[in-house]
Amino acid sequence: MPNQFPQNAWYAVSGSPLLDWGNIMPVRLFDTERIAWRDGDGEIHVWRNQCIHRGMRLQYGFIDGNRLACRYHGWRFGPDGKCALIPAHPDMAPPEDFCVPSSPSCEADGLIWTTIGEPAGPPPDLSEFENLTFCRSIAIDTAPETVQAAADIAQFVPFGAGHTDSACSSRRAATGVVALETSGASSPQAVVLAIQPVDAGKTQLHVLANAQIADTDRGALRRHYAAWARQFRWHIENRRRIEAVRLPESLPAPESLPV
Amino acid sequence: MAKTNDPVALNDWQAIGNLDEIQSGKRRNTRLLGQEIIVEMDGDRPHVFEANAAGGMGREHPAQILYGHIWTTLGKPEKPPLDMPEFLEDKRRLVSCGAVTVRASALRIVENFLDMSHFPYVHTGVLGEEPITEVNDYKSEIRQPDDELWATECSFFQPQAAMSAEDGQVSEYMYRVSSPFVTVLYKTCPAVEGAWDLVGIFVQPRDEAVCDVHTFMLVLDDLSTYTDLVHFQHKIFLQDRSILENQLPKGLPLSVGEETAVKADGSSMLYRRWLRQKGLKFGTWQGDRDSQAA
Repeated sequence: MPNQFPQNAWYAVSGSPLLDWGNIMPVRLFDTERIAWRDGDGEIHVWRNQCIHRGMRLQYGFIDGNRLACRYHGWRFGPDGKCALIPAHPDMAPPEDFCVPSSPSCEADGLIWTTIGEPAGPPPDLSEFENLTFCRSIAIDTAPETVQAAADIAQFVPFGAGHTDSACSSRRAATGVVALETSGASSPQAVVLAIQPVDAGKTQLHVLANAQIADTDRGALRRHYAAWARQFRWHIENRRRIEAVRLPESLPAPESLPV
Repeated sequence: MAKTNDPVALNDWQAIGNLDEIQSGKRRNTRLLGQEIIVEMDGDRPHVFEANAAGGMGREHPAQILYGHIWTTLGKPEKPPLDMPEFLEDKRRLVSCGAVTVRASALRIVENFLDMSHFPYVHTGVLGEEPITEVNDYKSEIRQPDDELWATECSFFQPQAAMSAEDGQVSEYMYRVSSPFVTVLYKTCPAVEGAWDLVGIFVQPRDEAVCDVHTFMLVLDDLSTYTDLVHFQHKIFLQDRSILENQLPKGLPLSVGEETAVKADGSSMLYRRWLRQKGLKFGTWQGDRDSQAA
């Protein structure tokens, strides 16, 4: 992939609310297979999706307290990736070098980040967006470069009443992160798009909204931007030329929107 | 993929169907070692032909019926298929379970068949269950002059060892691999003390990572119906398939150190060494560790 998505940069691979304890999430980045899971203390770990024993995909394993177990022979691995128990030899302490390869990972700004290379620096700093809400992740059947080009000219109608006339601008907030912002309105909103290059022709897009709203409006905010994301995807997957993406004048009622 | 040029794979007998599936006068198309083939029964004599580019009958290959299955070879085998004298015993029932397609290397399939450590996790409540997960020491050897791999003195506690078993028992096992794609196990028969039941797989490698697995049982159980026995075996095998289709890399790594092993993996380590000595390439992993699942 060209320089827009260097392999040693950090990329978002999930929204934080989507990965709770007990879940082993398969992750694909640059056509490699990883898993992400949360240990008993809530810390995120990103490992190769392959058991060191007989190569079984770890995504089909199960979480046993603070350990991840492989589905094939029940080998247990601790948060540091080291094998803690081999059920076929329960009294044996597994050798120190029995360890699943792991990738650097962190959790920040409502997203889970990882990298497949040696990271050149820290993960993107999105602290300028002070009121981020994770809205949804969406799979787009197009190259990451195409998604980024579409994001560069995308438009949106902000959530809430009285915002229909806001102008919108886009900028690259970090590697793989595009921010769409309203300008001139009294309470500005932004859509933050974190692009995950799945492979040369597939992208996972993580959509967050930056908006100062009451907690009771958070569900409606998510649905608003989830609907925007579906429209954005439709435009990319169904247009031969990338055009500006606009929401229709009036949205259908949330209950009737397809998931 | 075209027909392999690996002589170790070609100069051997493989099963390509069971007798229940191929009726006299009818033709069946299948694939062996990358080669499309046509199987036909002329009365009770099997014929196997390579399919030519137009889909017609090309070169003919030797074929024989053995153990309820049709066997063929695309090369010149140095030894016949395995000898199982138990097939001549009166009281035994042959249960042919049919072919199940698995998107995995034949070598991964055979290795899984030899493994006991997975019983509590893949066949939970039937062939094993936590907390009784320990694999006791057993013996592995290559027996000459037959050039067969045998694992003996194997044992494992099983909640429901066979269709007819009412309680849990410690099952004793022997495993035998007569050629890279053919393996049989002998396990304690719940019905008759001191006797062995046989369960085996004749793996038909269609390609390096797709196989048809022909499973058979030769048992002394005269209580269970044929259907129940087949269902039992299918349930077990489909549990294995979920694993087999998710092992990376697809090809079996043969070099020591490419995957991590423990004492319980003795028969699998010997199987890999045996295949290395034969020089088998078909169905093996040819890359290096770092490029496996990246």
